[in-house]
Amino acid sequence: MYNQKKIEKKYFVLIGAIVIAILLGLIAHIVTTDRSLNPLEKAVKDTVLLSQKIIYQPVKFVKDKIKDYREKQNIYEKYKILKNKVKETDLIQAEKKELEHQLKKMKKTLDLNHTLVETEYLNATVVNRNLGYWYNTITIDKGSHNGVKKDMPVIVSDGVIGKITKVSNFNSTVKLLTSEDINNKISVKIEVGDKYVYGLLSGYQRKGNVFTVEGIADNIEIPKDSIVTTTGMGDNFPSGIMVGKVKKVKTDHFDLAKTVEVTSSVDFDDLSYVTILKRKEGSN
Amino acid sequence: MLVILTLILSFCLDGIISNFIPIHSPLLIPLFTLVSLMIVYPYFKRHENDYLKVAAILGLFYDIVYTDTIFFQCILFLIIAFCVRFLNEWVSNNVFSISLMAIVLIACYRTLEYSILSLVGFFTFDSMYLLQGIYSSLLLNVIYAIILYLITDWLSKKYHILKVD
Repeated sequence: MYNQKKIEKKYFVLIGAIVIAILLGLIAHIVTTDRSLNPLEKAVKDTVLLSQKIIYQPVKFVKDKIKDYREKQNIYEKYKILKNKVKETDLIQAEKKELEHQLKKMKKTLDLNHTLVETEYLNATVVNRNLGYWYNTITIDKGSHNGVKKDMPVIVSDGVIGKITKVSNFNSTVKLLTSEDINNKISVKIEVGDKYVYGLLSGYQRKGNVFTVEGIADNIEIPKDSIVTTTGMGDNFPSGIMVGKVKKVKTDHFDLAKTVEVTSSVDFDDLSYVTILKRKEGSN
Repeated sequence: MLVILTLILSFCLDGIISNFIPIHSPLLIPLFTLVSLMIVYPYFKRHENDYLKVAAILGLFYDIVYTDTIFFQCILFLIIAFCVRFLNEWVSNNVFSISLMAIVLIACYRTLEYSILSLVGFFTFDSMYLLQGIYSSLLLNVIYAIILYLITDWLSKKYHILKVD
């Protein structure tokens, strides 16, 4: 009788261990792999977010009105700045046209594929922000119906914020660069004089809104406030999107490479409207 | 009806409130759905299987709509539902015990989620980051738990809805 109970207990522990192992495997698959949403997930997500959007509209209206009111407070200061900028716009437009023309010619000669000029901009509103806490994601109100695809870069006026990871018909999930996810690393370049130094954006500290850039050779001097942008290497991010400015340069524990602290140009705490960079139809 | 309304309202509020709070807020991260799950337990009148089913469904919705991690939150919500059941056997419901239970459950939920995510290689374990995750979720959710408890308690008395404390 005692032995039978002992055997039953052993079986119970064994079955429990197997169930936990299977569950962990399942969670690992769900969380770490690059899976797409199934049709049922898409339908539920779109329906719930649509109803939430309807409930949120009056609140959003009031929120926007308050924001407008605050902005109107210093409108004259802004007007003066913009007035000066408008004078420069015509010059910049002409210069831009000329550069686009030159770029087109060069592209033909070099057979280049991805440049920032070839992207279309699609504006989106943030529906909810980082509810999973550890995942560092936001949900936006544009989906496959609007031509959004997985891995498209997402920016705000100050710089890059992340990329699309999940797409449903009318909504998408954006994984922010602030994510601790090991697979979420992008290559960046630091402007040093007329040259570029390349590195990998690998970490983020909430305190001070600072990114860490690794993989930079020890023999290069990097001045403070140097501009950090995306490199365009890999398929996702086009070249030249602002990431931030150099705050501090440190040498790693083995004195072999430098680690650069970069203050992000984006305020990740306040993301309400974002822009998706869509590759233009016809360009690869 | 009160249970359904409480859960739906809290679920929607989670998404709406997140738009007003900084993403990396050090104190005000919403977890209203989880808190509401704790508040509605006494209204199941000891029909614990129904309560577990509701917890699993709510977790699944949280998975699909908010985190894109199908079944992960579902499992976590089920574990939290078991914890709520266990805690309710030991403590009676009042404002003080509700606050205490909310703190314990939020700490359990965050620790469990973070540990599993670290275990499956989503990120490396950092105890400070975990601690930050726990205390950033406490203040707002404890306040919400107290308000929700007072409102549901008042409504249950007014409309004679059976509640087992």
